[in-house]
Amino acid sequence: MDLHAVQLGEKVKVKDLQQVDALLMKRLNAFGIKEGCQVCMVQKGWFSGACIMECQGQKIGLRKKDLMNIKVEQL
Amino acid sequence: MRRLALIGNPNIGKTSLFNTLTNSYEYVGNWSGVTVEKKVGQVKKLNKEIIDLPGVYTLNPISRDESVVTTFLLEEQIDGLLNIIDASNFERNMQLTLDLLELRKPIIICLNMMDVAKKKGISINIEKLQSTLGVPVIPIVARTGKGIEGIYQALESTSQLEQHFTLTYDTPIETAIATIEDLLQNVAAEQRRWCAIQFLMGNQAIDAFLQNEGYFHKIQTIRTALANEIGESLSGAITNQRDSYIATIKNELVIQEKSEKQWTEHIDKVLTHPVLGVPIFLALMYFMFQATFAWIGGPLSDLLDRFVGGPFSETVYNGLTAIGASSFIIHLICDGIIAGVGGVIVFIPQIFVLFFFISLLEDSGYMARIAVVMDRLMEFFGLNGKAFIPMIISFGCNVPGIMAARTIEQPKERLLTILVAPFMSCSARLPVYALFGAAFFAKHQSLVVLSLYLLGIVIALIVTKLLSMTLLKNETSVFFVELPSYHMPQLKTLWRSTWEKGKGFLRKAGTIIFAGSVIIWLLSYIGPHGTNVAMDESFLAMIGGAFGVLFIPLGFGTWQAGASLISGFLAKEVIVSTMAIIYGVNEGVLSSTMTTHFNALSAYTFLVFVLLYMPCLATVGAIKRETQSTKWTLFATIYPFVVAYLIALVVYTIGNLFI
Repeated sequence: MDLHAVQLGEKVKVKDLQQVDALLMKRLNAFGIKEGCQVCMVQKGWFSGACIMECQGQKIGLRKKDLMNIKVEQL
Repeated sequence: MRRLALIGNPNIGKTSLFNTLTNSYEYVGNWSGVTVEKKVGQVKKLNKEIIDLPGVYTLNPISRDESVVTTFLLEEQIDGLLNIIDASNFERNMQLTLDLLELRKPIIICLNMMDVAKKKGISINIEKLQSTLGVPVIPIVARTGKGIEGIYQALESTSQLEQHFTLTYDTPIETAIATIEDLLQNVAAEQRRWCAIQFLMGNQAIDAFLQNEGYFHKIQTIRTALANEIGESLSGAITNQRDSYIATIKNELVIQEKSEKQWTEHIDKVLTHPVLGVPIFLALMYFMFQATFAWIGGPLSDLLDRFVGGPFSETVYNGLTAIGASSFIIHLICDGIIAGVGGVIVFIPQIFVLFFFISLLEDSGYMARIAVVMDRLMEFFGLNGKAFIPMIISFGCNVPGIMAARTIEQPKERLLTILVAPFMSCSARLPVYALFGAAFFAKHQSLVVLSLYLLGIVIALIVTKLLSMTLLKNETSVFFVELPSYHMPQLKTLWRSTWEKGKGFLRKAGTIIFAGSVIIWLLSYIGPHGTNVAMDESFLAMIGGAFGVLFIPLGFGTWQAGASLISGFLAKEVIVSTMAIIYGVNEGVLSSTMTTHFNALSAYTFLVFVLLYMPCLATVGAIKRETQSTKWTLFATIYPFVVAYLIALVVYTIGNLFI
């Protein structure tokens, strides 16, 4: 399952970041988002707009196309 | 320690701490290669200086302004580091701290946001953290100044402190580090290990620093070989080992209890709501403009205007007459300088109010939310949501707006943003709107001004779309925004950033506008047939007339309009100065005099043209510095003129059908 398909408020575990763009990957890693960490979808944009997710108490905004490259699994 | 560098993640109170620790500071030019301003402050009571480094998440840069930090650490002599970290976000902040500890410079860790951490149910064993890392750790709340005394004490007592932090990585990595360390003879012995680790992690700033060394090829081979040996990316492998180290510390020292639900959560839900977010943002903008023009800034400007136009110029006139100054001097000062500079000075209250609100948006953390809410729209036009921030800042002034584009990681998106940001109506254009608004649209002034602001945005978006489809076809774009937790901005910080932005305007009034006023007045005073000629026969009329012919199709083909548009290139406010000089009256009467040269439609067309026609001189300078390209600077200067002409023509032609 990809991160964009997750329901609002549902907590999931990041499984695979292989397909994520290299530059974005650096930033995600700096934020502590890597395989095995827990994330939660907080807000979804309409018309495929940017979404807000939470990870370790910090919030970040990401685009749908990047979220779709982040593979997650249910806890 | 005499020279310290302040370093930390973005949005964690670095500026607050800097402001609290220092009583004075100055900008000492820019960081090399980029235009991030370099800020140096003097520490209160102690004879030390602090250099404020741009906020970064790690030392491994992904954009140009982030590389500044690594380059600084490599090239400049500093005696120690102040590392500010967010206690409520311990794990993430420790990444940078490890990067810094390996540098082996004396370091003081300021554990900020202890109050937020407490609310989130986080408590940290500070003593133990101190002994684990081997450096002083001071708990503080930078916003209120709580705990700052601890930093002063640490600064005084640790003058000879040495620091030998070592995190041992797996054997293959350690072997590579050791080999590289031996080669790095041009790097200070203490920093070699750090330099080697950063090189292995693929830090581009380190690559750039070392690439002219004879051994560069050799260490590159080591890096590639090591990556092949361990079978994953080196930065990934090193980060993983650091992560497990951080996780160990966290397990031992950080206690996470159940957190109280924060009230800002509910507000955030509404402000970033996919549907409500946009109208709320527009409403806030409307509120901001109302406060600027109608509630606070406008009335103050009126007061100032009455003072400058009335008692002040009368006193100067009487004083000059009393000391027997020649009529040339009296005219120069009263009709030239006071009319020109004064005509602009009166807008200072409005400009400061606008800057105050922009600073408020930045400091409260709302600006980042706007980037998320607006991303979908901006993506459609070929930009990302972050480009919205430079655009909003451009409402204050295009120069910091263009500089703010640096937060955009993708070079093409950054260039696009820089090219269209000048369409955002800056506060210098405000005096022009205010002048014409009062003269022609007294009842609908706010609406007319709002329509111009919106027109600026719409044109910027359309041009972006066209450019991103033609000249600047976009590569894949990265969008990543951190949403910092909301906080009440500190008044001192707000005032400082308002003043930072506003003082440039004051400086302009003393330099460009002053000089412009004198030149324009002189040109209007001298003509082919001598001095003190009728204005219509002056050089100014001739120059303006030649240029003004261009604007006959737009309905304002007078030499007055032509002359003021030329001078407006210096700074947009000069348009008002010029008109005040040309019509030889102070601003109060100016409105009624102008009705002989403009009607409502041509006045509006003129405003549309002024909105779009050309970035001012200071903005062109900023574009040159940011793009580092003469070609793009020329393009950015000339194409808006064409756009402005076309749009104004459309407005005038369509308007004529209805009037």
